[in-house]
Amino acid sequence: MQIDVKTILFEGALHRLRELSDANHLIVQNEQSLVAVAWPELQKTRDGLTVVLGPQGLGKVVATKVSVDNAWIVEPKSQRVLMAREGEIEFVDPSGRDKLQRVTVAGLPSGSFAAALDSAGQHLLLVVMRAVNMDFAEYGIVVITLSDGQLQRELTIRSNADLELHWDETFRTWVICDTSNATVWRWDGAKLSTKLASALTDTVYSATLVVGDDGAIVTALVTQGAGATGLISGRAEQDRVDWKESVTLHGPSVLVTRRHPKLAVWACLAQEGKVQQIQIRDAAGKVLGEANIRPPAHVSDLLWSASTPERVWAFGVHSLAAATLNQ
Amino acid sequence: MAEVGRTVPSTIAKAPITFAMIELAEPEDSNARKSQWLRYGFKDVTPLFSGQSTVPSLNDSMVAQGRKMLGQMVDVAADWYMVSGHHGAIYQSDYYSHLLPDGNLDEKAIVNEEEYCGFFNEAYHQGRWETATRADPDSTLHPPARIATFHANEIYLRTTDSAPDTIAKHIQDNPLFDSTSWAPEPKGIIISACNTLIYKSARKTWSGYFPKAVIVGTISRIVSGTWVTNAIASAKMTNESFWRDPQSILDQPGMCAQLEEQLTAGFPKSSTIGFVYKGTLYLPGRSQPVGDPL
Repeated sequence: MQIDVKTILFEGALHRLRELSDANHLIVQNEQSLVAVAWPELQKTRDGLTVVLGPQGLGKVVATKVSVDNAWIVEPKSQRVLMAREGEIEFVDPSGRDKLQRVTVAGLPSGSFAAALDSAGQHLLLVVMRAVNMDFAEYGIVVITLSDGQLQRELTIRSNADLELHWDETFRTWVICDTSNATVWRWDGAKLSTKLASALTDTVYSATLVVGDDGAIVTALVTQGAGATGLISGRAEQDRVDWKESVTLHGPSVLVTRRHPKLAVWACLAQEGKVQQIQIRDAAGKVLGEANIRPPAHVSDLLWSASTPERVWAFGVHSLAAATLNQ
Repeated sequence: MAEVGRTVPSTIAKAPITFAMIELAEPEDSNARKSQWLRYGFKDVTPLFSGQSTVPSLNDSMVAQGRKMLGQMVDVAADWYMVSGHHGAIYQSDYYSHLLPDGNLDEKAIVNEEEYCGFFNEAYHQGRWETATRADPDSTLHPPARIATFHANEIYLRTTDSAPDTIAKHIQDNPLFDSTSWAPEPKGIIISACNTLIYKSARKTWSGYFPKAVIVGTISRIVSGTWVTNAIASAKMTNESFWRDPQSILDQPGMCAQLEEQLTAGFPKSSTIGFVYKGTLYLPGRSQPVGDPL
């Protein structure tokens, strides 16, 4: 597999990235704005130059005064952005055809950190901050019924690491994954959540969750003996995670990995010294393709395109790299 | 214009910059910062763990190695340090020395008057922090077997003066304070946890040990240290030049206020980030001497 990488450097901070209708239409949180921008426009940027987004640069600003703790998500059918603000959810149409709509949500705090929609687009799951005492806070979960703004708090899920959220249509529950230790919960949005049993004993340093054709799949990067990196994946069943055998990842250290939603391949972000690399690996850990990301770009997370299996996005606070996979 | 003609700085023939890291909780923030510093070609000089691509959290099976690393850290003189974990008053029970007439906590008095604070790991959090008091520092009123497990795995690094042994029986060493190797003092320190700069005694201590270093921390609770590292990465000012020589940038008029503004823009608005530099605490929209109460 050959991988072509085009990297864009941004003048402002890139806090979040999602696709709109396809891989050519992106929406990014740049500084305090949401900006809709076409990838073909970004792609024209000459190497080594930085891009400005917004009124003085590329793309169209669709929302302002967006903080890093205003979680948002694109509703796949309507292509509207749902954004959480203190006490309300905003519905933003990036095309500008529909007016801004709001649903008041009593009790929704000012800080929200991740969002997911159910398959019908009727409920929004959010990660919020919960104060524990003067010196401690943690993430917790709430769900909002979008038709009437009712907020329901989940009482048992807590974490000090990022939580990844998905709706799993097979079990008709939310699936929530702690990215620091691969703990997984299921929650139907009403009763108490279930923490899935897990026989994982390795030391996890990064975990991700994807829901696709094979169900909800958790992937964990683990430290093996002698400092080697292992990849282990498991299917989240109703009450347990069914882990497979771990595989050793040879080569530069892998910092983040994400499984494709439909295919048993993993995009990996690897680094050795100054060199960062995007790799595509199979279930046995074998490298199917790899490509370096040229400095000074620095990326920290990966996102598979929702519309094509040939595109992986790698992004960091000032960088976006598009990896095109050619079989 | 969509493009800005900023060129990539050359790193050829530049002095090597070194860093060292201590992680006592979830390591995502340390891993992110380490990755960025390695990308600049900086050198990790953390004892025992510098060769690893990720920063180990000094909990559970890593406690023994972690203590060994901390012991060796006193001989390290790095340009940058990052300490991450839990941070707070020495015991949770200390809060109750500061009550309002209505019985609620006097939070202002706590942050301005608490004498003893520290960074700590999860075993200290669940053990002494939650169960000990100044009168019973070994938590003898709690189930001994459970407490013994926590004590065996606890790590606590003081960020103020040491608490006297009449009220604290645990080790309070902080290799950054105990080091005899400062020549010169570090360029900066990232203290990534809850309330690292809100306690007057702690920020005065950091500033006293490192009067010329830039010390970035928090003035509120946070959930995750990634809030701090993301805000630092988001700030336009924190490019490679900043990490190489922050003093030459921050000593220019207005630059400290600009850094605070940029850090705040990339930080959750539900919380507060700030920094200490040359005796002054910078927080959103204002600054004050480190020794002034909040």
